[in-house]
Amino acid sequence: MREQVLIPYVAKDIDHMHLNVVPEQHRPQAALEILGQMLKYKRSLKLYLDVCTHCGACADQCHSYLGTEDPYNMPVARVDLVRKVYDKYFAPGPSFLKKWNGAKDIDQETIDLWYKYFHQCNQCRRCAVFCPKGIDTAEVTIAIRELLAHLGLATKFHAGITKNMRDTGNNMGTPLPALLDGIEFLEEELKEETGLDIPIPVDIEGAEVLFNPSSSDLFTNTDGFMAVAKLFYKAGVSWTLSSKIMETANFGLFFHEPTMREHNMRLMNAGKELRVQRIVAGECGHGWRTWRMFSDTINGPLPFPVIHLFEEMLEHYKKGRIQFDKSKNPEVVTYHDPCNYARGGDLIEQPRELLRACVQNFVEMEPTAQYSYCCGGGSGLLMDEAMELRMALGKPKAESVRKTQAKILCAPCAICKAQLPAVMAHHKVDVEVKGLSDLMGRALIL
Amino acid sequence: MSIFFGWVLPYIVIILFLIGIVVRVLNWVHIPVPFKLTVFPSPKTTSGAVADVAKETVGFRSLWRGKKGFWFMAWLFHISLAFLIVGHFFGIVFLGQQFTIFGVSGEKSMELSVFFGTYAGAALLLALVLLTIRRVISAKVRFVTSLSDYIVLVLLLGIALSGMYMRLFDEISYGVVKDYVVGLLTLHPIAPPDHLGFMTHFTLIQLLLLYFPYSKLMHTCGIFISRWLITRPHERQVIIK
Repeated sequence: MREQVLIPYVAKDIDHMHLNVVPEQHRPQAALEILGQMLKYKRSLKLYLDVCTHCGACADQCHSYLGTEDPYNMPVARVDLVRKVYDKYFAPGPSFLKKWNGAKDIDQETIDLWYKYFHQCNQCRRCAVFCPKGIDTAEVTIAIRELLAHLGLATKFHAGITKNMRDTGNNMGTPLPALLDGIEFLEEELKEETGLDIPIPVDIEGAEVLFNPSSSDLFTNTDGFMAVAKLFYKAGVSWTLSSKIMETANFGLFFHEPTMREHNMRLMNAGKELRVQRIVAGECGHGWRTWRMFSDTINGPLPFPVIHLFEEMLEHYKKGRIQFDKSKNPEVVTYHDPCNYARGGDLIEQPRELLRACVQNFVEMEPTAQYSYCCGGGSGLLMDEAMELRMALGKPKAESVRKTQAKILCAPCAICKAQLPAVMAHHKVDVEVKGLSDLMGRALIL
Repeated sequence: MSIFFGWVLPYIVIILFLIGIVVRVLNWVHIPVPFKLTVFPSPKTTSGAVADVAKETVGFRSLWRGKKGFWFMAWLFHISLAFLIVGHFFGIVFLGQQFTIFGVSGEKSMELSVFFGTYAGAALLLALVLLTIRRVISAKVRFVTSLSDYIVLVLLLGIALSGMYMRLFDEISYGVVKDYVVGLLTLHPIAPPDHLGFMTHFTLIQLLLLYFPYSKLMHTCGIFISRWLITRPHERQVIIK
């Protein structure tokens, strides 16, 4: 089977998303039907296919092209893979004019190219900042990955994560008893470290805040998670986790809208059941974008605001409820803007204000804020089999970090935290990757 | 032949052109936008967002963020084209007397009209040549170039060259053009001017307009809609009381 050679690997198990594998010979036809449907409900997709002038301004701005030097990774060329098919079957006008536009038949090879190159786009949206028409390639990538999923071509990694999410309420697939065990252990750790009884409450009805962490923080980045418990404790806010969902990442965004909606609904329902006053999202870039930008469309109007941990903590810091001792973080720290914080979710200044409050030496990298490069793991490209690709995608970011000569790279996003240590080691940049919570936790005066 | 080019074709062209772009724009705006796609930092208010889109479409700020050389080519092309379209309108309607409104003599106004037209035309031609050279010599841009990109460039080059040819070597009086165009617009067409430069210029423009609704030239209308998608203001949620 052809699928065995595709990188990333194709999922075998996609039943949980109610998807079926379309037999290979029927795929081109099925792809056209799905594309036709999408063009009817995604204005962005149709516009972006129509208004590109092939000016090429995006090429030098895409970390994927800069890192891999594969011409199909220029955003314009990536979208052209779809645009040629669109021109042939959906664009208006006589066929000889369509031919001038480069219209092309769809075949199995086209679909393979889609699979390959739409899994080399991190959906980071940097192209949208530099494109004069504002074409956001991520929109096209999201649409085409969804189309591929409907053909039965979801990636093994993404499908596995969404299955974990559906079964357990977190991406790691950790069952509830193990989660509760882990939380109890962390409470003991906190006691040992601080000598205080700092709780990590679960399912407390009527709490002020429902905090939704990245599940990876519960096991691999526990310092950051314990820091959150300390911060809430010190700020005097009653908070709780929900046993229904401990995951702020939302992989549905990357390739399957129904999953994204379902996941979003799961959190909003958890918040309603616990009758909290607000939901606070933990460190995760794309998840934040889905909460901030999409919750209202899916579940709105909501009875509570959905805000970010940094907005919450900045408020407490400004009101004087929490204080930091900068001398606990003496190293040179630089800040990596997760794409879906800066470009995607309106979090640019807040993390910087917190950083300046809790570290002694904060340096900006170049480019930064909404111009920042992606870590190369965005849109869930964290699969082991794609390691070579991931290292190439991370190259522009590695060079940005190298120039700062920082010792700590603050990257407050679960995907960035998984991707960047490998990238930095591969490109020989000597830096330690940490979340912002970790740094706040170290400097917090209890 | 000149009846076809001078009398029949202009009506067909303008009808197809208008219907074509209106249908395409309606197609776009009838498709829903399920999610807000704002790219941050974004304006906080609707008027701020409108100003943002306006600044972008006049100043090409996105391109300015990238390579300045390319920004210059693209901006020079568009701004001189806009200048020329406006200039053609006023020049032909007022027969070069449009600047008398500022208190200059009729003669001086004509001189100014010619002066601005010539330099804007030269700027347009320069920008087009630069853009064409860029498209041909840059391997990256060549990789994504289709035949239609060249066809549009060739048409525009032809229009600019024929315009400059008339200006420099074979001038046609504004009055003749005005009589002809007014005739067309009032549905009482008169014979087109027997002037090779003008007919070339006029016919190439018609070809461009014919091709317009089926080509990337639709970006002139689409840019406002596509930029609005990523510029739409997004209200911040109320944080804590």
